[in-house]
Amino acid sequence: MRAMSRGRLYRTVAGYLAGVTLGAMCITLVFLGMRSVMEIGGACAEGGPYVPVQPCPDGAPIALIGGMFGAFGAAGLMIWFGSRLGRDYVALVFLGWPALFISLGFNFLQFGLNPPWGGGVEWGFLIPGVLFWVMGFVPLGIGIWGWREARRGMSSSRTAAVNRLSDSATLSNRIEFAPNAFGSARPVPAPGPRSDPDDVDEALVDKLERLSTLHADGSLSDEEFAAAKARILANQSLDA
Amino acid sequence: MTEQQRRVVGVLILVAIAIGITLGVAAWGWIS
Repeated sequence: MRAMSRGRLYRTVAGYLAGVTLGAMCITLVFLGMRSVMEIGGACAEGGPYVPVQPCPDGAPIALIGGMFGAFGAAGLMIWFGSRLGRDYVALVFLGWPALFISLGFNFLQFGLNPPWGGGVEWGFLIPGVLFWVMGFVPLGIGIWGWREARRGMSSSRTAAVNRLSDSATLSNRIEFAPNAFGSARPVPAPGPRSDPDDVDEALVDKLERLSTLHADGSLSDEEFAAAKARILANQSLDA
Repeated sequence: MTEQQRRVVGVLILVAIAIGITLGVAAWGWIS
């Protein structure tokens, strides 16, 4: 992630939060709209060639259809602005899936176990309720497990990456002196001829690019990136 | 972003979710 100005950061966070707010609002509207339809038996139809057997509750069509399309818009906002903040923020979009299925599954289960019109368990609601909870909780569980694994793995691979970069930057300095047979240190020639300055510059650019890639994909924090970059540049100036 | 900024954004996300739910309930009350 490139460092962004304070104003741009605020605008990006504001856009991302607008997406979160819109998403929560849309899921709430779908949840409440669905409940209103379930209270009249779970289905409604009117207009067109069909006989209006069961008019829809006021607001239910716009809540359900608008809520669904609005949720896609919210996901778009979160992905658009979240991609500037880091991959963790983009990943939060996927929590919308379990949020939607678990909340709607709750409606199904509640009305299935205790239908407003009485008559015991309503299997037509209970079965979709169980399916919705499976569709919500299973990806959520896998997601949480994967997130924890990724964090654990990232911390070790991150350390390894920084160490590799540091080692490659300091190796030539560390082998300048080696102990001789008598245990005292004396200068030993560096292995091979001194590299061409152009090659050195190219190697430096390669290292900085690799570092920048690790930083951009979120493997390195701003502080780690700055420290590693400073170390590489400092060793480069010593070499030169 | 610094760690402190991340924490602030995390809290703001929770606030945004709460505001979104409130707006959803209010919008439902208005259209229904």
